[in-house]
Amino acid sequence: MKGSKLMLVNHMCMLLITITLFLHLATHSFLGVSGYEASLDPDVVKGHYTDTATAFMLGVLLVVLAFHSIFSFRTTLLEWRHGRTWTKAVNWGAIGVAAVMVAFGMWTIIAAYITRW
Amino acid sequence: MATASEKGMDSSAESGFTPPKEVVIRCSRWTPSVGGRPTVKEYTVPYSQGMTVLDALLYAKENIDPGLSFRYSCRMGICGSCGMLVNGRPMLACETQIKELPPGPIETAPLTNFDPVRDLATDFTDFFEHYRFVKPYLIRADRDEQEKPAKQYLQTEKDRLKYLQFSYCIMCGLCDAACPPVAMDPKYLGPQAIAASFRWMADSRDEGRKERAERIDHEHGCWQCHLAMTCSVVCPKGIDPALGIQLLKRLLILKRL
Amino acid sequence: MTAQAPASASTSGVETRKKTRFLGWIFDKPLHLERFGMMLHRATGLGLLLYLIFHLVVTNAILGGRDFFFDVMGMLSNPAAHIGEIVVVGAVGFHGINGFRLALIGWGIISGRPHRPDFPYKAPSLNNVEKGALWGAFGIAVVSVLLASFFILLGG
Repeated sequence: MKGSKLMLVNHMCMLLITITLFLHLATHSFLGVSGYEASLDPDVVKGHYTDTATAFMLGVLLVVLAFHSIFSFRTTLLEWRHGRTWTKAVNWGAIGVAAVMVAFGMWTIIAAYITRW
Repeated sequence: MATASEKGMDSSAESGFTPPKEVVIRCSRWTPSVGGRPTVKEYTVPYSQGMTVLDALLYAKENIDPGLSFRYSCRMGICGSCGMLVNGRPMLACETQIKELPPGPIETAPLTNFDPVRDLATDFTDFFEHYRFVKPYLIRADRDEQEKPAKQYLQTEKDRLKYLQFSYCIMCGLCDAACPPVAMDPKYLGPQAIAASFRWMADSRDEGRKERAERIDHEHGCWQCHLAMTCSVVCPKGIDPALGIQLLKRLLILKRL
Repeated sequence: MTAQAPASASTSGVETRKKTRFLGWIFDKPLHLERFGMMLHRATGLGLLLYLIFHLVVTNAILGGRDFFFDVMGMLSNPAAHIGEIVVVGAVGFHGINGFRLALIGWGIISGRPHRPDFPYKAPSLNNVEKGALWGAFGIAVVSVLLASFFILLGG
């Protein structure tokens, strides 16, 4: 895939991260909660997952963060070592790790959304 | 406001510089093909008004140690041959006035990110190969017409200014020596080649944008630049390779949209 | 001696350089503001990736029920963890704002314009806007740390 295509996706992810991360931090400090400690109450946290809008926002944040972080880390790994084998291993490893992160995080979000205490 | 040294006048009184009788210049000495390890040799050179690091090296070579090896040619900052580390910073030896360096021994070493050939001279094979790779020449769609042009390729002053500064590159290699991604990745084309590529892609007379984009639009091309911008800090000719790289990135991304 | 034609379209393919430095360049000169910003951006990025993985694992505790989640949060309610969280918020603040700065420069918006270079040379890309944006990123990091300290340590 061309570098410019990946970079464009990366830029879009960066924009989405800014919006969703701000909202995520806000819901743990002042938005709908009375302070940080209160936001860590199990019922409050569960409430975030059972609220459709917040759960969707967390899902979006997870996906874009996984792409941006693993894409950037991949760049660092490719600077560390060189060669065709290493490049292939890093590329496939990056896709794998990102997939695992997204799958694991989505499991948390979806399972918390649909289950009740 | 230009200082006295920028105006080329004697600035001793203005800068508080007291000319020493002698300067000590420490040079890295090593011939990899022979073996052994790099050593540092010291040469004490009599100071004279307006002396540059290159002048000191030439005195050392002519009068003390004829075996000291370094590249130089024009002695006036236009050929780009004398690039080396001076007190750890990539600089042109011919343009570095000794009086503008901090007092004390002057450390010279071969450029970083280049394999040393001997002493202060380094191997520019990869550097020139990366430059050739980006096709640094005018490309027209009609090659026959380019071989036998029937008229001038006209260009406005405004069009010329879009690429002019990048055409002043003297290929000294200081930018590549200072660049962190070049240090890490031997395949990275480097700021010089990428800025050169932009010079041609921004030229209104050129029709080879697509060909060059193929060679630049990948992880060892312009996307390996992470904006350390040290290339622009060390460039002795004001080329600003970092600007060329960012404008090239913009070109490639806008092409996507 | 001329080099062979490039083996592939994506790289020149004939590199001869023997030595690369993954971390050694950190000590190269000159160390200036933008290069320091790049190093900090890398460091915060790596730190945040590690935190992200940790955070995904910890938040999964919500599936263990109210009491289990309460116990996990209790384990993480200690000064060291709070300070770690504050550092993470600071890192997010710097990395985010500097990331915006890098995107704006990469889009050519605050990178300056080509000009005719005249001595003394001043690189357009090293302009006050991008320097100001970098200082702004440092400032946002400090403000984030202060805000996080207020909410986390002082209970908001």
